[in-house]
Parts: sequence; C-alpha cells; structure tokens
Amino acid sequence: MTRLVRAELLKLRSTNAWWLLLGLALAYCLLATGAFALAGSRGGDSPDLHSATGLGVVYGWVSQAYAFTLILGVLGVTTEYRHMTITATLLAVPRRGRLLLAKLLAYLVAGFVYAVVIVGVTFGFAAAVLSVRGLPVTAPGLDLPQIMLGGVLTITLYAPMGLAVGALVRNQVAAIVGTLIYFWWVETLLIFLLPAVGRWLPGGAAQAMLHLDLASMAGGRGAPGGGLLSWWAGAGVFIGYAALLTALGGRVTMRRDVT
Amino acid sequence: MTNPTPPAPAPVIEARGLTKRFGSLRAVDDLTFTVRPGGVTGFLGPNGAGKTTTLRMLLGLVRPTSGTGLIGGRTYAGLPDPLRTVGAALEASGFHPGRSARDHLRALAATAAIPDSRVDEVLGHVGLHDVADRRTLTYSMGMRQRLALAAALLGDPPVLVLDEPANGLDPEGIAWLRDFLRRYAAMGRTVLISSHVLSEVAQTVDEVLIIAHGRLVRQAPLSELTGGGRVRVRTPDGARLTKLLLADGVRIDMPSEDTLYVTGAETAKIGHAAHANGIELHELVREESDLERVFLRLTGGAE
Repeated sequence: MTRLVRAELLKLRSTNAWWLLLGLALAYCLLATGAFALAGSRGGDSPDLHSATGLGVVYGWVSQAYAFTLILGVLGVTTEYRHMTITATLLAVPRRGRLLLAKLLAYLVAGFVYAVVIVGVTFGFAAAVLSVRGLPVTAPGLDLPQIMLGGVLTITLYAPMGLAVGALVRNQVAAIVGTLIYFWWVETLLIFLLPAVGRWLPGGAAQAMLHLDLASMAGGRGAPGGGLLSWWAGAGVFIGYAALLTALGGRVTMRRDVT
Repeated sequence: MTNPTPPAPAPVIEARGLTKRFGSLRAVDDLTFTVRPGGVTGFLGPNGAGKTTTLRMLLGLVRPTSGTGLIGGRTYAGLPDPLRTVGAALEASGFHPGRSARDHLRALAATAAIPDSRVDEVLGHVGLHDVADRRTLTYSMGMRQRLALAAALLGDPPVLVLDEPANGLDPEGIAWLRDFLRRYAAMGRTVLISSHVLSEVAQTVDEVLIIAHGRLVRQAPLSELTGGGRVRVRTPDGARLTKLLLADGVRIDMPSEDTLYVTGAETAKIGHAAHANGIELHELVREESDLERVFLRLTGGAE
C-alpha cells in the first residue's frame, strides 16, 4: 500500500496542478485575511479587532481555503478519466478498492501539507499585519490553537472528500462546478438560514471543528457558539460524510467499465 | 536476454465464453479462445468487431456480461503482480499532457517497486530516451505509441497484449516493432496483438484469431489461413505426375485434364520429379492467396 500511495503522490507532484492550486489558495487567503486585518478597527461599522469575534473572522477565514483542497481531490480522480490515464493506472493496480484507498491516503497527505502551509502562512501574515498596525494579535476568549487545528483539519479533510466526489462524478467540469456551488453557496446559505439543518451538513460540521460560528458572527440566527455541534460531534459528522461519500464513490467506481 | 536456466513457461491467455452486451447490442458474443506462448497471435477483425472490448475484458477494465477472461489461469484482478505478468498497451489509453514520459512511467513503476533504472532502460528500448523529460503534450502519435509500449515493458512481463500497436508508427517503426515482437515471442513468451488490417501484421503473426460482429470466425495458424501457397502445374501428362507426387502431406486437385493444383510440395520438388521422369511441363507457378481477400471473406466484407 505504501508503494501505491507513493505512486499517487508522484503523479500529483508531476503536473502543474498542485502548485497552481496551492498558489491560488495562498493568494486567496492572504488577500482576504489581509483585507480583514486592514479594514477592521477603523471606527464606524468596521469590525472591532480587539474582540474575539473580530479577530475570529480574520483568522477563521483561512478555513475557506478548503475549496482548493476540495478541487485538488476532485481532480485526483477526474483527471485520470479526462486524459484516460485511468487505463494505465488500473492495469498497474487492477484491484480498484486498493487503488481508491491509496488515493485517499495520498490525498490525505497532500491535503495535510496544503493545510499546514496555508494555515501557517496565513496566520503568520495576519499576525504580521496586525502587529504592523499596532493591534493585538489575539483577544480574550479567542482560542487561536483551536482555530488553527480546526483550519488544518478542515482543509486536510476536504481533499479526500473531493476525491470521493470525483469517484462519483467523473466529468471534471461538472464535478468541480457542482461541488463548488454546493459547498460554497447552497451549504453556506443553509447554515446561515437554517442552522438546525445546516449544522448537520459537512460545512456546518467543519465550522464546528473550527469552533467558530461564522454564521452567527455574521448575524445569522444561531446564537454565538450555540448554532453548531460540539467539536467532537462536528469532527465525527464530517469524517462520517467523507467516509460515506468514499464508500459510495468506491462502489460506483468498482463496477464501472473503463472504455 | 540470454538466460542459462530455462524460465517457467509463459502464461496462456484464455477467453471462456466472453460476452459483453451494451443494451441490446452484443459487442462480444460468447468468445472462446486460447493464446499460447512462443508465438505472436494476431487478433484480427474489422473496426467495431469487438476486439478492444475483448481485450479490455481480459484485462479487467470492462466487466463481462458473462464468461471469464483468464491469464495463466487467473483473472487479471487476481494476478499477484500484474505489471510483471502482463504488459498491455491499449488504444484510447492516454497520458496527462502536462506530465513527462519519464514521470508517467515512474509512477507506474512505483506501484510494483520497479526501480527507476528500469524506466530509463525501457525508454531507451523504445527510442524515447532523449525526449523522456518533455511533457507528453508535445508528443506525436508515434511517440505516444512508443510510450505506451514502454509502459507495457516495464515489468519485463511474459505476456504482452498490444491493441493496434502499429497505428501511428512510420514504416521504420513498424519494421522495428515486427522484429521486436518476433524476438519477444521467440523467447517463449505470449504475445497477442490486435489489428484491423491483416496485411499490416501478416509478417509478424504466427497464428490468427479472427472475429467479426463479436463472434469468433476462425483461429488458425497463419499458413493454414493463406493456404500455404499452392503450386499450379500445367502438363499434358497430369495423371502420371500426380502418381509421382502423391506422398504424405501432398494434396492434388485436378480441375481439368492438363492442370494440377499441388498443395504441400515446393516448385523445385515438382520440377525435379517431372524432369527426372521426362514429363513435359508447360507451367509451374507458385500461387499466393491474397491475404486481404481471405480476411474480408472471413469477416463478411469491410465495414
């Protein structure tokens, strides 16, 4: 299995997609975080960066980078079908369950690397901007390690989630557009408008892992901290979704003819 | 390549009642055949006859509606070390345009713990060594064929399955491939190549397997299919010559008083027999049967 995981990581490293996506993720996080850190505590309506809520938004935004590991994961399967490298791949690893498991492990590793880099760089950047402005880098009631851990977990786990989606929907464009629309809009709206439902969805569970109720911070219905599941429940629900999708994707992939 | 100890006999490829239906279409219909080591077997049929589907079923990529494909008695997915058992290059298999040929091969090799030195070796073998680090986007059709072959050779497998390997190769490449496959089979290995043009592989294969509309039309040694070439003899003394030539393995047809068709004897032998017995000959010609015509007749015409 180690060999298969190594082969998958080699495939991942040997094209441009991985650093393009990482670059985009970093650019996205630095722009957003920088904008929040620069715009806050300017009086008027601007968020108060001395508060846990205000700083929570600055740091918590990093979790939005999940979109990029999600795409990375989706590409992990759909690219094989798009360029028909799946034929060579399956000739080398005919047992499809093993192949999918190897891909999952490889993308967990890749997702983790992404997550550590993205969270590290973004947090460092946010703290630097705040320091330069003479603002405190943390606030009472703000659990920074928790947000970091949650951010790393979220960004990491969306990679295998994307992989499972890709195994279900082989069409690359459909898979990417579909998942982005779902995770970015549909789910965000549900979490915001119907927290009772939303907190049980992957995105809501991911926010629970962050210990950060972005929806209520932004003025949604859930009371601060009360709209989301507990950390453990959130992590459990999220991993449950990833496992379920993978099992489904695996079932479909196993049976499908490769022509 | 010289091995002092004789290797174990190469595995046999077996199709047992292989059938694939796509909706109401029977792409492959109850196909049963055996491909033995030590020779090159040509898997022939017009486009759309079901060759690729059959190969994909043998290689575990397509699930048969019924029947089984076996390699050395196992299904492809049941092979403990697939890359070291079967090397396959299929049509419509692709390469990531942004990945180099070397990385493509290294990733495949990694799955079977095949060292990178072997990657270099096969790249050299197929003549891609100098362009191995270029992205496959820049590759011509012929270079892609060579890369696919390199991938098949990675594990130095005793079984080789190639789908239309001559497509896109220049005449020099085709000659090289023919020579390569002949030598591969001569090592006692099992080689199966598909083609929709019989003449393209006629000089390469020992045995042919012909399918049309998903059904097996004929499996025979190539020599049998082409009739081995008969000799046409015209002589006023047909009856006497027949008596002289009739021996084991020689068959004679006499459609008219002065014409003999001799199968199983060379022109030299016939000429000598005639000369030694003072028989007058008016014609002594070796007739080759037209391969392509035989093929088209067997497959029910071109499509």
